[in-house]
Amino acid sequence: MALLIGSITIGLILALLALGIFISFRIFDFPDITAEGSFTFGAATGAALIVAGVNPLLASLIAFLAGMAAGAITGLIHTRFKINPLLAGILVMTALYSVNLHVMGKSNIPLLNETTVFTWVDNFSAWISGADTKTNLLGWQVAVKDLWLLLFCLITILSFCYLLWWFFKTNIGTAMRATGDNDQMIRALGVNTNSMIILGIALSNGFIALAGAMLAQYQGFADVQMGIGMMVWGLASVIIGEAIINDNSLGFVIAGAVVGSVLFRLLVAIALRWGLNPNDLKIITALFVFIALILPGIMKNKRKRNLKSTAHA
Amino acid sequence: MKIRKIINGFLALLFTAAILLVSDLENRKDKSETNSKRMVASGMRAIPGRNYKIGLTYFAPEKAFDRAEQGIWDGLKDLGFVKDSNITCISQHANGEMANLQPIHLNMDNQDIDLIVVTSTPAVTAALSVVKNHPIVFSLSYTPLEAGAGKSFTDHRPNITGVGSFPPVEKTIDFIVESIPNVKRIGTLYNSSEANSVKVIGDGRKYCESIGIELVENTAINTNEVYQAISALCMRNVDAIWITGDNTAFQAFSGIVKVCHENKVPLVINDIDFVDDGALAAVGISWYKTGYRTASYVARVLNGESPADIPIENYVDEIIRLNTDYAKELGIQFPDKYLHHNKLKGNNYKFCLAHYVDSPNSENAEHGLRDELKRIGLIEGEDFTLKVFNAQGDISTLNSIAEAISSDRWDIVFTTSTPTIQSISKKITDTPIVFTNVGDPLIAGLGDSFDNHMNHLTGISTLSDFEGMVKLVKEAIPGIKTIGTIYTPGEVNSVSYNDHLKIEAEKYGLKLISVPANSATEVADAALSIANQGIEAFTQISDNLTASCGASIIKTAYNSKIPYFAFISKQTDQGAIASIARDYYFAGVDAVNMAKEILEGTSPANIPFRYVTKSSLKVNTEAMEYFNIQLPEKYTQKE
Repeated sequence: MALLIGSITIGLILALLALGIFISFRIFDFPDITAEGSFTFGAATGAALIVAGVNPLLASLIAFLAGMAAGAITGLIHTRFKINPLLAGILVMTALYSVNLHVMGKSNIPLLNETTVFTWVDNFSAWISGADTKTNLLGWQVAVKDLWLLLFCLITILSFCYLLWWFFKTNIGTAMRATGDNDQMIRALGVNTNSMIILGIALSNGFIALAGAMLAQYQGFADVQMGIGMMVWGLASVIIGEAIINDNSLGFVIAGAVVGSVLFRLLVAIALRWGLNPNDLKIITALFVFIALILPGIMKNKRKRNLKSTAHA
Repeated sequence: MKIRKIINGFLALLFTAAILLVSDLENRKDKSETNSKRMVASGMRAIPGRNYKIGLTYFAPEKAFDRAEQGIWDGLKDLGFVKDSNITCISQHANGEMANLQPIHLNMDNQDIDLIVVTSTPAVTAALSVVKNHPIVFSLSYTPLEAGAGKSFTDHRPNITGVGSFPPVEKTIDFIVESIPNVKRIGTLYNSSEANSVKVIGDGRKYCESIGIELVENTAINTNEVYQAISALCMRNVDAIWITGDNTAFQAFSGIVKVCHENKVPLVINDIDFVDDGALAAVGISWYKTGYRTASYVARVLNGESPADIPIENYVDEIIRLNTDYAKELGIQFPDKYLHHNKLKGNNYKFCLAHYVDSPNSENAEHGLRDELKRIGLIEGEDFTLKVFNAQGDISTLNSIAEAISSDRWDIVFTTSTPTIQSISKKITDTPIVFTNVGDPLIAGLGDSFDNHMNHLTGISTLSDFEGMVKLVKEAIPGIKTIGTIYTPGEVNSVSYNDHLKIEAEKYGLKLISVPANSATEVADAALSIANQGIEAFTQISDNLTASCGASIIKTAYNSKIPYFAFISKQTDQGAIASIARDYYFAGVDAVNMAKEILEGTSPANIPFRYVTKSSLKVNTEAMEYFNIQLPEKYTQKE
């Protein structure tokens, strides 16, 4: 049970990453590799500021802005110098590695004894229900603070989803979506698509950096290598979400990214819980993702067939 | 129709969650079972909302008491009594003087407390004579009945109960007979006015008779007589000496050790804390576990049970501690069963090992760990299971692994590399963790110093062997005055390594010249700059930047005819004279030995972080010839 709660919590934190990837990949159709750098960039900025004594909430916000700056640079490189999106992302991601080392001053910053956003949640939980209390959930012993943590993450992510949804309904947000869908049309309407792309990629990386900052606070450290592989996972989450919630309207796609991210963490948790050979972890995960992707399609076909057969009868 | 799609999403989530919960089903019982296995009838748990207050008395501040006290608090904590939260404690000791025992107990009796915890045999006697108003729970006592607690374990004085620990007399004598060749006569010394010693020696005498050994006894009435008595005993042609936990004898223990060493008579005792003072071995008692056991007695009395209804118990969890150095001196070879004294066997321990990434370092550590578990006599499948997790370089998987580990029950959690211990130490706080392959655990935030660190973990640091390097350089180049290195200000490890090297160099009278470099292009200039400052050898510390530019520094070294020594073994192939690198295989070996101490009852909080015991040395004979350097044989013989 603790594993379930913990996995959902991580899934929710990484949903921020999925939302970021969703913006670049789905809204703009921009394969943005900056993600791997900006994820660490957010973690590094957040951690360095927290260690320097900055309020963790403010530190997370600055991490968000830092990520936006990184994204804006990728966007600029692409639009101004007409560099292929992939290459622009690679350039910024590579540069960010050094930047991150400088921001942190070393390759790894521990936050184990620092006050983070999650320490607040812990303290709040201790204040409400006492320190180290456990509760019985369906027969499993669960730490109360873990439940508060989950609730906190849930509320945070839902608010961000709402904000994002609201933003994409505004004029500027609609223009951004249109840029991704049909840039000629939107240019004809007098919108500067370049600035839309810059803003969009910036927003995307802001979310990704925030995910990094949150994860660093959750796990208690920031490491210069923590971004490696993140983009693939984020993308996988988005696609799983799409496969399951099969709808193109904005709200559903956003919800899909969150569901996909949580589902993905649950799949990893199952693979871990089954205690398979550790070397096989990734292949099992890949298999699970594959199943999650094809299952909705299979079920739909089956339902159609059932409908047909009842119609005949 | 649209709502249906969202519901689909939730169904998918629910379905996976259900699979996960079903896989996790065994934990549902497991965790509660573990608790009950540890102890616990419901009457033992702390009543929520109640505040408890206890008194604790002891004879003198000493190691045995510290261990027992730790055990008592840990045991109470597992029952829901948390020190300074819902339970407070007044403690007092008698400064090691019998005369103070009565006054401190009288004082305790007048305090507003729920009960008094009394440790040591003489304190039991004193408490029984003066404590009238409070129940008493005792611990750390060889012979509570002889101290006056009652006629038998069930028929005892109504206001007292507790845990007695009669020393393992027969095991001790067996140990002497099996370890020391041709033992015929065992000598012993005790104070005949100490009730506990009389009882122990009496039992020993009977057992010796039954196996055909002669027990040669001598007594001492006070500490002044001990030296003489032990000298006399050694004259009487004894093959070994056994000293039990006699207070008088132990106050003059250094005298006993001296005489035994002079006469080359092996000394075996019952108190493991005194082995390092010069005994051959001790067959003793884990006072930590005794204390832990006592906690349940304290809890029962705190919750209102009358001590009269709780039988006294004799609880002994023995520990054998050997002094192998002294054994070598005496030419004694301990039998295998004592060498890998296996209380650890048959417990079916559950271990897990978490890696962050597949790398030669983590693989070597895992090999070392598995080999050492085998070497200490534990068989996989019978005595332990080791489950391995590997995040394969992915930080989000690492977090999932931390969750997966924390939701299960383990006896020891092993980790390799810094991020792993960081994320796991955050998630798991109630299981002992032993980390390894961590360069600098202090920089990783695991503690303030090697001694003072997070309570639930300890581990092995793989920081470079700076002292070994300085010694090597001094022996390779006689009369050397200055050494040099490049360091990278942007890498905290590098700065810290530079500081460490400087301290060691100064300790051995060398001057370290270090020059900073921030990027690959600066490294070559920095190397030239050091070479021109008159250094006699490069002792290049290992950081990310200089590691990747090693070849260019070595080239500069060759051009300036300055020998180069490395902390990275592969640099010997690039032209370094020699390298001293931490051996990750032994990082795993050392982690197991730490785990062993924890399993034997020491709290991880009391085990300082340690460096890897072995570093691997590699020499390059061609480079030695080129620079005309001779290394002492002890270096060149090794691999």
